[in-house]
Amino acid sequence: MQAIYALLCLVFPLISTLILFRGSRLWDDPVAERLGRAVVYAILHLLPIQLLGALELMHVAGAVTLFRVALFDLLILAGLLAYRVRRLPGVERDAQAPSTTARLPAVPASVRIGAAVIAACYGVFLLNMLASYPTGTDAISYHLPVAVRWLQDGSLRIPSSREWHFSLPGNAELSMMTLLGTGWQTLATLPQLLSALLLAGASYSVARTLGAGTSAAAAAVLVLLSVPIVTFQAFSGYIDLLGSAFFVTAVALFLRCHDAVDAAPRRRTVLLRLAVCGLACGVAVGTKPTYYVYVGAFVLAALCILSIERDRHRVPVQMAAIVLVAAILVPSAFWFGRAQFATSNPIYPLKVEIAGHTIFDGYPRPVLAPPDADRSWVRSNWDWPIYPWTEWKDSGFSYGTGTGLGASFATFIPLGFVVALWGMARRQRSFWRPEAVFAAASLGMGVIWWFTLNRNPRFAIPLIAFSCALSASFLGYLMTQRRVSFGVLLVLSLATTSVISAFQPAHSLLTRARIWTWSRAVYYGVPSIVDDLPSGSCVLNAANFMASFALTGKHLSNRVITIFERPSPLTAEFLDGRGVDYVVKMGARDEDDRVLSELGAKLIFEDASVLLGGGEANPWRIWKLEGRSGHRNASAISRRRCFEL
Amino acid sequence: MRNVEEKTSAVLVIAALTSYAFYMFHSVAVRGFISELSRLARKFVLSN
Repeated sequence: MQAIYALLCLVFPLISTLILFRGSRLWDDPVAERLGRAVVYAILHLLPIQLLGALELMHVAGAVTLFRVALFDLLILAGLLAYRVRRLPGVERDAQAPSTTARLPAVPASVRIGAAVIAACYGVFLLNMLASYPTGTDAISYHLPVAVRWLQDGSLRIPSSREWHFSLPGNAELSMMTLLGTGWQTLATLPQLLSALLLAGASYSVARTLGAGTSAAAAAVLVLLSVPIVTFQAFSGYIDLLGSAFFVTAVALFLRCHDAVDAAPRRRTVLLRLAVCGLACGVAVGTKPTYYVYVGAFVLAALCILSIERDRHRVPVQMAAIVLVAAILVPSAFWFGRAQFATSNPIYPLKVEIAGHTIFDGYPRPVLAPPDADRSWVRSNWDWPIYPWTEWKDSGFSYGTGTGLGASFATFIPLGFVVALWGMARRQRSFWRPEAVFAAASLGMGVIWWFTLNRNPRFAIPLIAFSCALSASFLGYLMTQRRVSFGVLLVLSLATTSVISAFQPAHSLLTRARIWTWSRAVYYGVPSIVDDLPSGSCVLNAANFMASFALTGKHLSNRVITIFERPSPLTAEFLDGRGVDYVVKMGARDEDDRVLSELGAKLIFEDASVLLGGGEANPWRIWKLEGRSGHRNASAISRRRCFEL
Repeated sequence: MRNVEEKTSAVLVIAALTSYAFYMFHSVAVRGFISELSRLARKFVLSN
């Protein structure tokens, strides 16, 4: 039954979006209009869950269940239907979408072949995704465990331990939670794949706004989609792509918002467009703290531009600022409120200090983002300018969710960026042109990435998208002037990266096909016994930080305490207080095993031959605590729930 | 003017080609992929 509610949680917002936009348009440009509708769909999907979560936190309503979310979605749908019946088209644009197919020029063969290469690469990834389970180091160590915990517990609150992995904003995890409810776990990574499409659409829109032709913008989008960080994230449970896609969408819609119409639009239309930009920013802000700085910079830049151009749109800057900020808060305020409620710090787990004085308490920056983390990609800062060509990685895997830019990017984008800047410097007498402002803003964001985001490549996805969009005109120039040479180079570079990227999922798929084992336990390399533990068992992962999601079992029926939340070494107080039923260990015996043995726990599983489980040097052990007399007594006195809520 | 356009585009295509060649020679990803393919090929030959 839960699967049906989960599907309804996805379908009702979709129908609501269609009803909301039926007979009305906000943008003349069809791509911008679709981007805007995607943002509204995301809001209609996320907001009911957040509202129920807020009511649960305030003890006004019960648990957040998919049934209640679906019911709330249905109420919204009914309200919109009633509104539509009573009042027809509200926005002044007519309902007819401009025909896009009639005016599209022929796409060059190189772009079509390049698109086929990218489609084939994504097809291999998709096949592997459908035949497997959600992947990604951060995803299986905390993003998905967070989503499973919310689904199991019906509460979005921060645990009393205030552990930072469970205290981050979680718009992406809300979607994961809904999709995990369908029972088909691999769907939990679907938001990232849809985000890749959204990012592609937004980058296309930006490229077109900056003056690139349709084919050139399409070529730039292909280069962007070939970037390994984007490709791998699209099929993983990482959340950077989702946040980046909504942020880039906000920028794309803003660029269409203030200068894409010939006749000045009505004030109400401009404000509605700004509101949708703000909503897109808000989704990004509610996804990850990384976007606080990007969105802050965007809002400042947007208000400056609106102030300079106020004669064109006739919207007072104060009103624009209020609309923009209010819209940003719609899908993000819940996370600030939740953090304030639990920790008295609205941006927890970030710690804010000014001149040594703590304004908001939290985790110091080096804990959340180690200052020397960029040494995973470069040996010194001087290596960054040549990173696109070297793709050095300390672990040896140059392509992945957080690493690698690919051959097409290295071939065209740095050159295209320089040519674009050079062209602007030569051509323009006045600086005030969209591409110049956009280039300056991109460089400013590069500075933010360098100084505040610890130079982590996956935090630069918006910059990668903007660089591709800015280079589109350069690609268009080569496309017209050197059609054959450019075409060969484009296809060759796209194929180079696509083949290397697709090798990993193809290898994974063929390996499992060779041993013909498709079980979840083998995929994650954990003992299959975890799938058969009694439903609702409290399992402590003391084995490996990446095993947390796997240990929830194939029916997501085990409640897992992650490795981040456990004391080291284990204590009887912790085990009894949490009501832990099973402790999972891996590797050589240590202090934890001694403590468990002394507490009378029973070793119910010990095996070094778990398939794909780490080999002989890493035997798995599962200790069972149930039945221990002290455990029962302690539980009777102060039985706390497994998740410490 | 046309001559200038042609020269400019030729320079840019050569620059892009050089960039691609530089990537192919220096990227750790390409080298890693080639060595992985060699390893698999050796394994396949030995197993036969």
